[in-house]
Amino acid sequence: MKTLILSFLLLLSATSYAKKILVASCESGNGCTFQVSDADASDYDVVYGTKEGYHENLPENAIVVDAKINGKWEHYVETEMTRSQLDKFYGGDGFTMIYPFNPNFQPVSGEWQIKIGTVTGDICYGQESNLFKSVLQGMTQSGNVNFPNPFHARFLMNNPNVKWQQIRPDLNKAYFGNQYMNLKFDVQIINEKKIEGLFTVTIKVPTKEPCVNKIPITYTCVKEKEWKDPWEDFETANPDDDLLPVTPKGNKDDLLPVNPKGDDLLPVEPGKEPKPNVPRIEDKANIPRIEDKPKADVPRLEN
Amino acid sequence: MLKRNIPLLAFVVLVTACNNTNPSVTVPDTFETKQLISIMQNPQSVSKESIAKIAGTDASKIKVYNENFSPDVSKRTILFSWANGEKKSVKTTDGKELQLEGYNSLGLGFVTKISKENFQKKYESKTAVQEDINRITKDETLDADIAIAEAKNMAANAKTQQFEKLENVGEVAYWEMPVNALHVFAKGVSFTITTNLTDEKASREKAVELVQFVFNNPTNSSK
Repeated sequence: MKTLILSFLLLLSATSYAKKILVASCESGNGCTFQVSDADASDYDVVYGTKEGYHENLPENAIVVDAKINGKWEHYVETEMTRSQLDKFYGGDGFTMIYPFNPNFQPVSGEWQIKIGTVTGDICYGQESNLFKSVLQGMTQSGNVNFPNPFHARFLMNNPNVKWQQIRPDLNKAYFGNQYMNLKFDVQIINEKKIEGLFTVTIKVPTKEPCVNKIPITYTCVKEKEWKDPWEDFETANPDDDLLPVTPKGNKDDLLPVNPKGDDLLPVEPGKEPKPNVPRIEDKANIPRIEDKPKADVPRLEN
Repeated sequence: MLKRNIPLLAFVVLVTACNNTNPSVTVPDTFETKQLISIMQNPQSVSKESIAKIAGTDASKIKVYNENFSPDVSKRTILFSWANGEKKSVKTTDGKELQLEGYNSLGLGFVTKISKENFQKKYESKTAVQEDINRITKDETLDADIAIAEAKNMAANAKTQQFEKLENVGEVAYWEMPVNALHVFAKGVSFTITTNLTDEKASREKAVELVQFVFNNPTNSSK
């Protein structure tokens, strides 16, 4: 059993980069918001039951659309329209930007309480105490956590190697594991102050029936972080600043996710400097730079 | 012969003159930036009747959407939309053919403190977009994938983007096509009026009417 758990944890340290997808969330009268998918294109085939390689081979201009139509989230791939045209199709202004998160489903920044519910399922292979609940408690840490803004579902399992899929704009799924042990985590943003999750742990041992355990987990915002309205600084800003100041009300600029060493969730650590964990252009060796003239696929105005 | 054609010529000249007359709106002395900020901070406080009058629809149809997600206020926009009675359809991945209501909209946003010189440069300089692309790709706060996607999008837009200087709107103003938006500079601040209407001429007129509304909108002290 220890070997299983060890191999499971080792799996979390593997890293990979693959093709990403441009995702739009649209609603009639509001237009669309855009983000680059966290999940790889190949993962979308699993989510939507499409043929293997379908999303991987979509044309470069393809936009994967989640549209709220008649009160229900619907899914399709748009290959005819540009971002601007798609936004206008849904009544928007035609000006678009790509957010690093889905802005329409953004839980508030602040202090959140985690409650791990009762484990249901099998007692695996004669274990007296429930192994999974203790593993989960070790990973999630009890008590309160502080989610940075903007929120991302990956903060719930603050490990860059966990694969996240967005099933719907309000629904995320994480999974990791191997043929012997895997863990799925379904997370739904109920509203800006409540998130519900369900862990499903499955262990498969040859010659035995799979052992499945389910553990619900609830996150509730107990103290919303106060924010200074950035408009307050507008009148005092200097003209021609490239960007107006970003001024969260807290003491620290914690826009980027904290990446603590040991814990999977973010502890409330008021005295500590957060460490940014956002991939930089420099981190990716194969990313073309606009000023690197020889790269063929970089758009130049003169083309 | 010439005498007989004079009335006809006069009529043609008059019609041409009327067609070339862009609607105008000057900046009132009383206009203050805080009027604009007030709308951006609290778009729900804007009179739906006034917007409906500009839109040519019923006030009860006006829907307000505040895209205030970016901490950078110069990227924020607000949208006043209304169902236009058209039906559109989409086909979902699982093969369903769904109908949805078409919407038109007018919007306001991208409020930025800027000098008049730089505002003009932004819409007249040939290198402005390339400079923006360079800035985005060097911005360390941006995720690499996003920076590249945005740079490509800006470069693609630049191929079709056209700006026309409009006289008599604000201190300086430019009409952007094909997105049909009006960029206005007044008293050290620039802002953009967006339109989503079927007719380009109507878009221009309604955009200018909305500028007039912004200039004359009283400050709402309550947030």
